[in-house]
Amino acid sequence: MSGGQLHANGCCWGIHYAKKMIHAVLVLNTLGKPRLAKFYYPLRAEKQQDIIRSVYKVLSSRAEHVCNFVEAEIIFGYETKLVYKHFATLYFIFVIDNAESELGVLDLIQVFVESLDRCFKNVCELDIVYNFNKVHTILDEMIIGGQVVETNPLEVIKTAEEVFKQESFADMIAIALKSSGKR
Amino acid sequence: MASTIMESLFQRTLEDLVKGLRVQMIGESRYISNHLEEIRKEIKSTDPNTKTMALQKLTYINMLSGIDMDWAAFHVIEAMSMTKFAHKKIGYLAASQSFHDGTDVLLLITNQLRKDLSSNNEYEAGVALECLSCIATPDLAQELTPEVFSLLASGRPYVRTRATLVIFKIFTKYPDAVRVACKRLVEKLEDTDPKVMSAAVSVFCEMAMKDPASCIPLAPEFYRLLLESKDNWLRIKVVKIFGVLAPLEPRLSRKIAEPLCEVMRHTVAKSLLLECIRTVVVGLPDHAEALKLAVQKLKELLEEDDPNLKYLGLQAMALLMPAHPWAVAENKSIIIRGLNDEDHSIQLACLQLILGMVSESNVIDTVQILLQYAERSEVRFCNEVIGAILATCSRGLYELVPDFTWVKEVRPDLLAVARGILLDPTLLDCPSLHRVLSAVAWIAGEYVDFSHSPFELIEALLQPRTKLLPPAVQAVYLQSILKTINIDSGKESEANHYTEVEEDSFNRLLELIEINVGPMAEQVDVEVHERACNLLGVAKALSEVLCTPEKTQEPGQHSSHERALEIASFLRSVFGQELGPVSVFAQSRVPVPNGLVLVKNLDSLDGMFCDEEVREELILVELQTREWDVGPISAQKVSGDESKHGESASLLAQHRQRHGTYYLPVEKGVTMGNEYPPPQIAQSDAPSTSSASDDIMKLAEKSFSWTKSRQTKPRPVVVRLDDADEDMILSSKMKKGAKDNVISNAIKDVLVGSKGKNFISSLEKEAADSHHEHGKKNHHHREHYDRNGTQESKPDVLDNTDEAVRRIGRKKHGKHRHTNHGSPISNVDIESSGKQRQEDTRKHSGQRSRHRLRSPVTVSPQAEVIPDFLL
Repeated sequence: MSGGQLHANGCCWGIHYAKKMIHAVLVLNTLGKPRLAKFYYPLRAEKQQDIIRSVYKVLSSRAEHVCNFVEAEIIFGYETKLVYKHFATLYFIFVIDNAESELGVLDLIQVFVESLDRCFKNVCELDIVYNFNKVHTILDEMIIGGQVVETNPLEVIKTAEEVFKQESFADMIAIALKSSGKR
Repeated sequence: MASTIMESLFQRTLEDLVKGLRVQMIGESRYISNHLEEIRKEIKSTDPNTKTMALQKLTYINMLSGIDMDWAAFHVIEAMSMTKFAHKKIGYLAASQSFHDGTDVLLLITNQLRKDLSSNNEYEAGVALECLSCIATPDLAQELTPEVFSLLASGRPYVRTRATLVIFKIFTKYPDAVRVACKRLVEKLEDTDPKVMSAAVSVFCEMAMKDPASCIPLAPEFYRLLLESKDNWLRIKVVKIFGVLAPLEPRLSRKIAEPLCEVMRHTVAKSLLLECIRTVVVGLPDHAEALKLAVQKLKELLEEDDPNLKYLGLQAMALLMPAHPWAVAENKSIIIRGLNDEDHSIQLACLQLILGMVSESNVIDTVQILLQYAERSEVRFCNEVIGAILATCSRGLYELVPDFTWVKEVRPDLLAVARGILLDPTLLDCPSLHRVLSAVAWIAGEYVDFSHSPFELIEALLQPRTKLLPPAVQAVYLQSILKTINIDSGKESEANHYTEVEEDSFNRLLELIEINVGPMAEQVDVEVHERACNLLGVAKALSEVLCTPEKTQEPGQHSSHERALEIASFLRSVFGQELGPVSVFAQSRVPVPNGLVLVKNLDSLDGMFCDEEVREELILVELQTREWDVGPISAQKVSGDESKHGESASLLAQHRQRHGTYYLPVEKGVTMGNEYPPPQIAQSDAPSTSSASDDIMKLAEKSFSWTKSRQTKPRPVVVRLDDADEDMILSSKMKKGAKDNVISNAIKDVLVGSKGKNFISSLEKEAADSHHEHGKKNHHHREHYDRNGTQESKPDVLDNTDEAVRRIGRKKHGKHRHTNHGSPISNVDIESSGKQRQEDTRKHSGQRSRHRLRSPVTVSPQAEVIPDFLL
């Protein structure tokens, strides 16, 4: 038993050090397909898929109405937990370590879902599939480098919409510039 | 031109891709690889729209199915450098999703990041910061420190918040940056914008987790935030920080006790409440009042119906266990009820708590209750219960178990449960259960006497699916088969009454062994190979004897039964001796054979090991080897507390009188030495300070001397793993420390000057005049902030600083990273070139001396080095 823990301690240290409070945010559907995967430390694509698979395996074996926390030391290393919430066809999963409050992160998932809901008006799995970029933008307004920036869904949406505007605004300017250049 | 229009007109968008994916009939992977061909063409397009759309699709596919996109790294960089924000953003998203330390073009983005970080568009700076936070490498961090540093003083809170968080990422990658930026980061704790403040607290929380000591000087700041802030998120972080600081500084824990109680009494936020409870439990163990309140609140949480609160409450309970077992005992009934919870996590947490409460007086009852639960519950949990019982009972060389007869009575029960586990083939798949299985296999072999149907056990041990197990467990399985089979055959031949049917089934069994163990003899793993060969040999010998037809035998010759009996009785004598726990006392009386030096200093062999990692690996390997030999149970049995040895020794002595036959005949130690290998006892009197290399050599000696003995006579090998474990922890800690220290030293240097020790004395003073100075400091800080905050109004001054810092960054480029020790050069550079900073410092010291003059306490001259923003 002690050997196993040591193993985790000794060998995962390098990775562990690079990781932050929130290690990753995943959205998987109930069939295990990833709908959003954001890792806050560099990780190769095949590794990401391995992790997604093992997270799904853990979650799919859990009953309804049990607690929203699962120890994840085997998957993510020392003192890590999965905090997850199940909405309709989707699992929202935040991977955290002991620098983050479990209940706090559970609220954060709520904030994330509320923000998506406001952005897409009654969000469903398809919205997230088709608006892959927007979902990333919203997430980036909440979390930077594994640390929380904003916990108010109204604010999240306000800044995210600024960014969306910037994207289309820049478009318009470019078109205007082009047309003026042609003339 | 025309071609690009055509391209973009007929290009499939991300939406098309997703739609296609949903309706495709040819299989997802084929659909994706078809599409990938298209993307490869499109991404080379000169039209930005086509290119970024292709990139977007690629990023999506990468996320969905893990397709490698390293080949597109250069296109990602091209997209990042596009002028349109929409294109740029797609590029940045692709970069932060797909770049990693091994991406070869990573350094090419340095200039692009630099440009975007200093962009006037805050959202451009935002995406650049986000990307940097994901993919920062030491080189990138070093190059971009000046830019991020200057963003800390940005006038826009949006950028300032993000820069605050990203600067921490830079610290972890490039610790020298702490010297440049730490002071400004500390100022962020006073920022006018609450989000910036909250971000700074998160950063310090993370720093405190890694190295609490370096953050102690900031305790007054955190104290103020705890009192003043209304933001729960921020307060959780502050309470967490105190949780790691308080154990280091007793005066601090006295000070925060009252505010924490206040929060616990009044907050409605369960998350904050829970955090306070944890901090009180960990950091304020001596405050009876706070502790009582925390325990009471904890009880309320446990009584809630919400499984989340229950689970977290139980976890907090586990923190209480070592120091305050009474608090756990008070909630015993809730905890025992928790064993029936439908939630597996809660069950496990309860199990741990119950076993933590086990003492000499209640061990029998507890184990009986748990065994009842084990029989009723599903297999998986049952395994865990059994494993936990064994681990607990064997803790500290069975110090908890007062009556060994009881242990023996439990064994048949244990075997019955073990049988259940072994017979279930589905469990072989689950890697987390392998250790349990190995334990169970050992039990089956060792206590097979209690079994009614050893055949069944052997069949279970011989399941073809055992090949899925790791070699270490396979080895235990094989050994167990050997033990089982000889007991089995011995029993039958002795009684000499076995029928045709039984003989048939026995022959079938031998066949089964040959079929299943045969392939294992080809295994690469030495342990498995050797044991498999042994087992095959025995099986062959037995089957030869048994297969000799009776009728061909001449009268007067030994019948096959008799010959089988001979073999069996011989084998029985090998395994017959029961493995009782051997007292340390008895062990120490076995003389060390001549020529075996156990405590020799082997430092001179240090050179053999090129670096720490090799050593650690060696230790790990050795640990594993030892575990196989001893069998998992005895491996657990040895993890004991040394101080308890005396007690257990006397217990064992008593026991020995009663059941002398189970003990090694110690008096004949010398003569035994010829027959048995010397017992492998890690000397309890060996110097605990022995270095890692010493241990390795000792272990090596042991493992070599084992290899021969193993085949003739397996015997209990009691090895104290503890020392080695500690060493390993130590060395890994030291290794960790090496890098952490760079950061913490730098933080210390920045926060408290070079004479870091003096902050303690400052804390003492602080207790006396904190109120007085708080007001002052706040006032001062506002001033200070205004200067930095209103960047636009005094651009020249700040530019000086930034320019200076940037110069330093450049100067250092090429020297590569300074990971070993904080480089004093940079410190000097900054001090000499950053005039603004010098000015700051002078101002600070001026202010400080004013405070000192006013404060009633006489201040020692050393206290001067503490910058006043800490007080």
